[in-house]
Amino acid sequence: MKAKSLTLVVLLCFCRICPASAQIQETFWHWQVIDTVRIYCVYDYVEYNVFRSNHLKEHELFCVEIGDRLSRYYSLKQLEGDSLFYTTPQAKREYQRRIRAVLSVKGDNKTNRLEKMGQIMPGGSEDEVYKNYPVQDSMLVYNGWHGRTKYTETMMPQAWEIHSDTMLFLGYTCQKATCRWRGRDYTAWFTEEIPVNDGPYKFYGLPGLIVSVEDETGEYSWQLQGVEMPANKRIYLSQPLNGKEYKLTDRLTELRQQWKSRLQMVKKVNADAVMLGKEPPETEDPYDLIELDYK
Amino acid sequence: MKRLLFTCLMADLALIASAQIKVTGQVTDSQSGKPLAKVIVSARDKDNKTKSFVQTKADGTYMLTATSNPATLHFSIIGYKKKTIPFVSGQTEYHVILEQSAIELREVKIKSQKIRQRGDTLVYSVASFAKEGDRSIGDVLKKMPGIQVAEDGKVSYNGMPINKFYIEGKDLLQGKYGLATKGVEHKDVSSVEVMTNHQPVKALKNLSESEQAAINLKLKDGSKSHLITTINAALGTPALWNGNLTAMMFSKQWQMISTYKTNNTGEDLQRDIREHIDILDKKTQTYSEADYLTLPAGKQSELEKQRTLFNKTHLLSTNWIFGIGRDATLDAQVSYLTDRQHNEYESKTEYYQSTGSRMIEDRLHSKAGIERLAAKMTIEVNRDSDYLNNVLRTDLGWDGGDVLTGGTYNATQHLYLPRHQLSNSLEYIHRKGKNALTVNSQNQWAWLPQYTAVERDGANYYQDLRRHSFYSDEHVNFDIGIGAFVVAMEGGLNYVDRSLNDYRTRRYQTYLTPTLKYPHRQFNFTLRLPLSYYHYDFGDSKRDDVNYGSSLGVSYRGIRNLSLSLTGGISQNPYNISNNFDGQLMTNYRTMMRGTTEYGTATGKSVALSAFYQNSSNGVFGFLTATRMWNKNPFVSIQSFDGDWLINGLMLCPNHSSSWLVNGNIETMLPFTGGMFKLYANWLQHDREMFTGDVLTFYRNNLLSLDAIINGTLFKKLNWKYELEYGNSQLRLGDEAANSLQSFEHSFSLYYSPIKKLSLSLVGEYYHNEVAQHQYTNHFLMDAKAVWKLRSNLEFTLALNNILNEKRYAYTTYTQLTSFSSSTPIRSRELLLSIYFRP
Repeated sequence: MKAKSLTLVVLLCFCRICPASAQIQETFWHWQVIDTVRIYCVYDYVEYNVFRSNHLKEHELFCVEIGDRLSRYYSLKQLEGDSLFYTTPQAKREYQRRIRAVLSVKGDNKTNRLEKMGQIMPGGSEDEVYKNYPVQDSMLVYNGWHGRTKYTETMMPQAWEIHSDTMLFLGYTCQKATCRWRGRDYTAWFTEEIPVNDGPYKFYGLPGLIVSVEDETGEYSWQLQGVEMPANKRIYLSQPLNGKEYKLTDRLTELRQQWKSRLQMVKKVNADAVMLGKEPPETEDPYDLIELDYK
Repeated sequence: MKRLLFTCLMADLALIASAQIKVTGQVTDSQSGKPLAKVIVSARDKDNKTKSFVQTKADGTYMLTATSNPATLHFSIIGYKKKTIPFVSGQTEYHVILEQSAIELREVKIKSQKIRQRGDTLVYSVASFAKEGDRSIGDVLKKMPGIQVAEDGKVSYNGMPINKFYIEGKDLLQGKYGLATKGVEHKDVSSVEVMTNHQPVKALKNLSESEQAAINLKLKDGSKSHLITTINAALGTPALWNGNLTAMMFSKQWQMISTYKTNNTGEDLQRDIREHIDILDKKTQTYSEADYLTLPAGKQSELEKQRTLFNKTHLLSTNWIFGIGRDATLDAQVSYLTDRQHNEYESKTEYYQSTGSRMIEDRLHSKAGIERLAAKMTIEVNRDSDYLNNVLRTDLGWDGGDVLTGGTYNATQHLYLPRHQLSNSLEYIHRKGKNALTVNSQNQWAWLPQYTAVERDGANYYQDLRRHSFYSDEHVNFDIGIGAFVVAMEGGLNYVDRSLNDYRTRRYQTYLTPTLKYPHRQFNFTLRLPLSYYHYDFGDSKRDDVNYGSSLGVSYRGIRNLSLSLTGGISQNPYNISNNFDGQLMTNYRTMMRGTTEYGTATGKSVALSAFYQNSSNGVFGFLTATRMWNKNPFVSIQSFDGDWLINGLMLCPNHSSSWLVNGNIETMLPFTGGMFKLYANWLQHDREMFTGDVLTFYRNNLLSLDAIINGTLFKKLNWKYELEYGNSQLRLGDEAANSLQSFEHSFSLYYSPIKKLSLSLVGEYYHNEVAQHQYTNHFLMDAKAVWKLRSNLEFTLALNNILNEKRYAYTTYTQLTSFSSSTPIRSRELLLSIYFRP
């Protein structure tokens, strides 16, 4: 009897010591788990830098995590998955502290703060799109352009016209589709080899994964870089890193605010240049937003 | 009529009706019978192209509308086998059962971007470039295209030396970044940022552009805010040791790197504490006492210093930086280095004289003791409107040595070379709008109580070389924006008071340098007109002089990824007061240096063209610079023999010299090898006139060096590298034919990791040097190493160096008017066992 209980105690202790390495990462800064990742796609998103005079195309990697019920689109801020950035509570505290420090500085104007934030944060957009969340046919959109805002809209697929053109992309056979959506014309390629009705940003509504989407003017485009099926990965509902909450707004108000911010940035850059005795470099006409129907 | 209309209407309806095909049904799971939602149901034509599609609802049902009869209906969803069924005309209901299957999705691995560009900053991902066998971040920097790490540890970006080395945005090492490139491990670094055109002073932002880049190490979060310690200990035969204890801490408010290193395995620890930073566009003058005496270190050869250095070194260094408030930092560093070196080498020097050449043979045994203590404290406040930087430093050195020589001369020489310096430099910048005011003050005291004693053929000679000097430079700069121009004016005072034994020299200088900068679209024009007034006090004589110069430069950044610049100018170099003394100084057992009391300044003209190319998305970097200089010199070097003594002196005799310097490099990532290709080329041509005996001889030196490196990875387990270095040294005297000597070095390195915990590496170097016309020597050096990684933080290494036990290395080169052949001993076969531990 004694030997048995001793063995039991030893076993229990042993269980404690051994880390359960196969455990799914449940604690992700205590963000809520909303689904499991079935398909993980990474897109290279290209947009023009706001200021026309820069002629600068900026690349950023975004990923789409497709789960059983919903999907999440967000920016990959890290370069490599090797960073411990999101996984330790210490790192989370450290980042929250830094951001609070920057935001609490008095007398600092918004643009300075944005600049400083850019230095603390690993960089990258705060925009996120959750499709079929919180309920089916509803889309939740996060914005980080100026403060943290969110809005929901009813999911409505783009009115795609499927063509018969095909091509090979990353080894997948893809078919062409076009549409006009919220003021812009898009050309997309989708592959039925990956039978999911999803794509980057708010694009979906094709009988296969959208591998590339490009706006006719060339100002916005997404191109698939890779597709993987990870094991043990969850989809999380993100929270703002400074500890505050997203402010609820509606789509058109948000878009109007973003456009106003762009105009303000242009004014500031011009004012700075004038102060240095140079010509104002920007026309008062920066690149427009993706969705143009807010006007 | 009505009938016609009706028929038409019916026909139309029939047409419309037949154009709209409605297909409905339900999709269920084959095993459970449960309905499947979100199944993609698509109508395909005979070419298998999708015409329309729909998805099944939560209850598994669907209603698909097609504009014409499809050929097939296709059902697919992740996790189930796809199903295609033919469309039967007339049938409108299709119920389908799908079988579960393992997901047959073909993955396309997401390629990580190795180099990303964010505005002016290039971000290199460390994990993409680090290879097995790399430990320090310096090992990985060498593998990043566009970044060059020289043998002495100096880091450059695309040919230009970096102007700052930050760790997490803080300049901890203030230029001594060798400690970080060797001490910080790459597994702690997530990315290396290269900030091109970096202006570290906030108050000069948009006012003063920089051609140089800065490097910033971004650390992984797990490596911040806790003490990182690394321990390395090694023992070997014959009687070898190598130890290293380093502690690092990088937290938000303060950082620290402290290290104790000791070895007698040939590792040159002076590189760790060498200050590499030179700010190219900061035209502040400096003053440094000349080295009349030098310890007889083995002359620079192509061999890595590690192979020919016989040392016993200890280094203790500690560096701290504290953030004060938002914009201020305080940095303190102390380092102590002591080294006992011994060496012996043989050389034959042929001096070309007008009366015929003279050959001198030296067989030297030398012992040198190096002892250096340095301390530095920097306070910096970096705000948008103000900048303050004060550096207080002291460098103390007690070097000395003994030389025993045989050959043409039998002599012994003792050298005592202490060098003590205390300096303070202060810079303050105030920025208002587009104007900036800079105040700069530098003060430096130096004391060098040096001497040398020689015993030769029974006679004793003693030479005192006591120096002390005080140097001060104060200047003020105004930078004012007027319209599109930036007008800068620098005015200052400069004072040197130095004495060599009892000979005292003083130099007063006032200077004024107006500069005009004009940035216009993608061009940037700069015009500088420096003007100086000098007053010399040589004790018994005085001299006044005015120097002026002009330079014009233009840079162009209109073409993407390319930056071009062209500069030209005329300058006058101030008189070198180190050469001013009456009499002769004995500098070693056979050489004397004769001073001059004459005065003259050199005038020079130069033109330089440079092009820099960087394409981060392809990983291609390159640069090319070409410089042509013409100088008119007042003094000519004289080399003559007075009995057994070689006398180097200067004679007042106007002469001309000119030179060409072209260097370029190209670096590119090679995706198919998994590595990189680098090619460096350097060509120097120097034309000069020199007195040999009593005749002015013209001579030309040509030096060409090429270096090509290619590396890659095979089957993920084998890393290889091949390097070819070619050198050609040429000397042409007067009208005679040129003599040239070539040297080749082939080196390869292999790294193989058969199993996860074990790695083997092999390095081979083959030297093929021309030591006399058409006479070559061959040397083959090989090293092998085995590393057993017991845990991620515990490693054992067994290294065998110089397996073939090559004893000596011989080479010949042309310098000035001499041909210098030398043979130095190489460290013999050595076996070393070391432990690496990181708690």
